[in-house]
Amino acid sequence: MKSKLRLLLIDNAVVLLFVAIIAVAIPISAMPLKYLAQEILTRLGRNAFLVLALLLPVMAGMGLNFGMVLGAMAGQIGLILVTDWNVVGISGVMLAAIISTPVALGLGWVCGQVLNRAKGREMVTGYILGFFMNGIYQLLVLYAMGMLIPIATPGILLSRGYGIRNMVDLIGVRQSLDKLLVVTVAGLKLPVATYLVIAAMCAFIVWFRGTKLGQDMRAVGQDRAVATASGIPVERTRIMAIMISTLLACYGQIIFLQNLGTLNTYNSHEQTGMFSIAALLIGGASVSRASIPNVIAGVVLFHLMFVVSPIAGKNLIGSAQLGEFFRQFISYGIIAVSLVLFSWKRKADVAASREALRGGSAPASGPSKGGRA
Amino acid sequence: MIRRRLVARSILAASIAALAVLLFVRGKGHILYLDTNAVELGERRLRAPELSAVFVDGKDAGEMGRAERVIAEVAGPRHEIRVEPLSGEGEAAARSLKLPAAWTEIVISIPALLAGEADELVVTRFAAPPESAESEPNSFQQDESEVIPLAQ
Repeated sequence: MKSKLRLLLIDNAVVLLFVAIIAVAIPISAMPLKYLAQEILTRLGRNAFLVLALLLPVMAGMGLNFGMVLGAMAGQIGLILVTDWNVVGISGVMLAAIISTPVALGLGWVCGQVLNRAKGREMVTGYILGFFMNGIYQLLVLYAMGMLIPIATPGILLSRGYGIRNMVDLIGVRQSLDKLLVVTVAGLKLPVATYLVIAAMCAFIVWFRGTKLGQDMRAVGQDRAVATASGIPVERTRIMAIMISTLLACYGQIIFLQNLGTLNTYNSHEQTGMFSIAALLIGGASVSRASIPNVIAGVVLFHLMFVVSPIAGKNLIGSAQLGEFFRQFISYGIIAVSLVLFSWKRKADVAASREALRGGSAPASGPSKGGRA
Repeated sequence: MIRRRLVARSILAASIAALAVLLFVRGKGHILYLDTNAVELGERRLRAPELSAVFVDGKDAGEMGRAERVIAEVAGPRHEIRVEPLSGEGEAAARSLKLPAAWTEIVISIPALLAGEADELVVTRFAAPPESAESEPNSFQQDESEVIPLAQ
């Protein structure tokens, strides 16, 4: 019983740590609970889809998809074109999604091919691939748009006549999905249409797990050698996982940006992967295990921290900047801690298994769990 | 089997392309310049009422005097423009106008609409006036003429 409780605490250490920090920070910030609730409801709609995009690669044993920034870039290209064509409202959002779909699938395929050549080092490879693709994205947006790709709206072009401005006002599509169906409950505005899209995405993931491809991904995630022996096309399955993840990240970025209403052309995508991964890990996921409840819990906890920490820092020490530093420190630190914990746990499991083979006691924490989405 | 798959994929791609075109047409935003400047059509000179109320899709776009422009933003291909003269000149008129998807900024001539002229005379593409070579940079010159000739 005691060891079960210990295991439960160890498994949920990150979540419990964050709940404790937030429980202390909320009273210090003295922010009204209604305001906090509204912020979280808005941010849940804004970010949940992006974080859901990370689940399939975890299921396929490819770790956390740092390459999701490629999908975010594709989504931004769609939004820039839609803004140039002045297609507004929900039609604009859907058209941006359609335009960016082939771009995201192409980038996902490239990413999958690269990651297949870097098995076991997918996360760092994906991270660096994001930097590489960022250069190509900048070449496209800074030089090709307006020069090779016709851009008719002078307002989004740089004064030299080609290249997109640093900031693009997405006024035409701003909150068009969020405001499609709004229900007010107890004074809180719920963007029901966005929630329905997220719910549909969750239903898709649950359904997908039961399909042949989903089962193949889980098998590949648990053991590549066994999966290969079973006749599963491992490399193709991994590419599919990354392509779907990149496509979902693309749609997630479109949902994210239509909520914000402003596109920071050269920076919006850069933090997408980092913040989504941090949110997922804060929700209790690990490199090899992530689920839909992890996504919801992570987005709520991470964004509560986002909202509360600057004000709490200001009230506690008199400097909001400190809270901001703390927030940054937590975002990046949690990723490092999770990776270290995962590595440490995997080594401990291997050591315990070897010990058991020599006739010692069974591993305390059991074998590493396979991908679960 | 491969051929059937190819056909299915082609149908899917064509459906998505058709959906994209539909979304483009349905969601295309237009900036309407509701214009009460007088227009000349050959020998005829059409003038707007002294004061009129203009409605776009039932929404009040504002009261307009002569030689004024009011901006209205709409999305989609077809919109109803209704003009009600408030100064007692002529009858109210309403017209459902089809806007070309390729045009973003469009001038709607209120005098031409009230005179019952053809759609292509009522709906014209907005063209920014060319910059005068004599004008100083950053200078602003108001165009005093209230007559805008329309090509027939």
